Amino acid sequence: MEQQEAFTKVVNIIKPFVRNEEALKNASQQTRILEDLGVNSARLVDIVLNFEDEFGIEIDDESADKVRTLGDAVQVIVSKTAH
Amino acid sequence: MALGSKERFKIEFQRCVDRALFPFTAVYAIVWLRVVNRFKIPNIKEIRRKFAELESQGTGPLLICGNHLTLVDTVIKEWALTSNARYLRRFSLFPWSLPEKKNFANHWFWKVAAYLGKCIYIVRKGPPEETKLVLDKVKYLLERGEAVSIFPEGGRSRVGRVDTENFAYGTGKIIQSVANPRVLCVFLRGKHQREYTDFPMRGEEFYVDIEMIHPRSPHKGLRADRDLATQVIQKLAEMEKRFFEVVRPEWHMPERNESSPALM
Repeated sequence: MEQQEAFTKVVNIIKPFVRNEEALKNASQQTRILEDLGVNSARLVDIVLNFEDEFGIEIDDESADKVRTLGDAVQVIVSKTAH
Repeated sequence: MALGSKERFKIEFQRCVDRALFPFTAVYAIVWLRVVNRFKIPNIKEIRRKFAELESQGTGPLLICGNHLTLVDTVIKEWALTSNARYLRRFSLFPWSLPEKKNFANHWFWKVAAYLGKCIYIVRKGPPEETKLVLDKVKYLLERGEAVSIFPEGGRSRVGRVDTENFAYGTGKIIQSVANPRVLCVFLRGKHQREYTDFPMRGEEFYVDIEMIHPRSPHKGLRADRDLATQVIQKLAEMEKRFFEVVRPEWHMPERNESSPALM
């Protein structure tokens, strides 16, 4: 999967959990999900599970823990869909 | 991953110290609860009888999950569940707790109280490695037959009631980590408690209810974490609803306070 396509889908999945919508409009790969977008940390698991459903992949705890930025999420998804 | 020998030693050492000093800690706690603060639990005999009955019905690891509105909910729960004499006889029943470090490590008194009260600090939103170490300690304790008390909401509820929307899934991870866990759901509510505070008001009258559940999930990994944590939260919410609708309708269930900031 292309990075840009994954990025667009990631942003759409995260959108309902975002409290700082202004930050989402200007989001980049470096945007931090918790700090910049104001996502509740308890909802990160929901986001990861939505990634699994959307992309048909399985994300283990270790990979999920590494997701801090939108770019991290894209990397995990691209690497899992490549297999 | 199994807990390292250094961490195991620290836990065992703390347990020995806490056990040795428990008669003093217990007296201090009772004076603080009943004399200084004049707290009351009118149905305490019924709860202690029910806890003894429920606890004797199984042998699996015992995880105690309560709703959370004040910083001293743990102490009140411990007081409600059984007598200090019974804790002394079966010290494994006196539960380990996981208080937020920033609330209980900023003054020598709280540090001592936390150490003697079988506490392991947790840092909310801390680095994943630190959180994992705490979870490994909890797993070790549960498998060793020690009761552990946690708050499945992940912090004091900002909505004044059991928070069924903004709860963490760590409870599910703990339940998944051990075989045949028993989860004791404890609903605690002060008569005058409208929203979350540091302490209940002096003279507060508490109502306590308990139920044992055995959560299971057909899922694995993160999905199971969410499923199991949700089962615990739903049970607590159900106990709260029953309390306000049937047991004490005159206490009035507070409206869900949507303006309060959600837990981070």
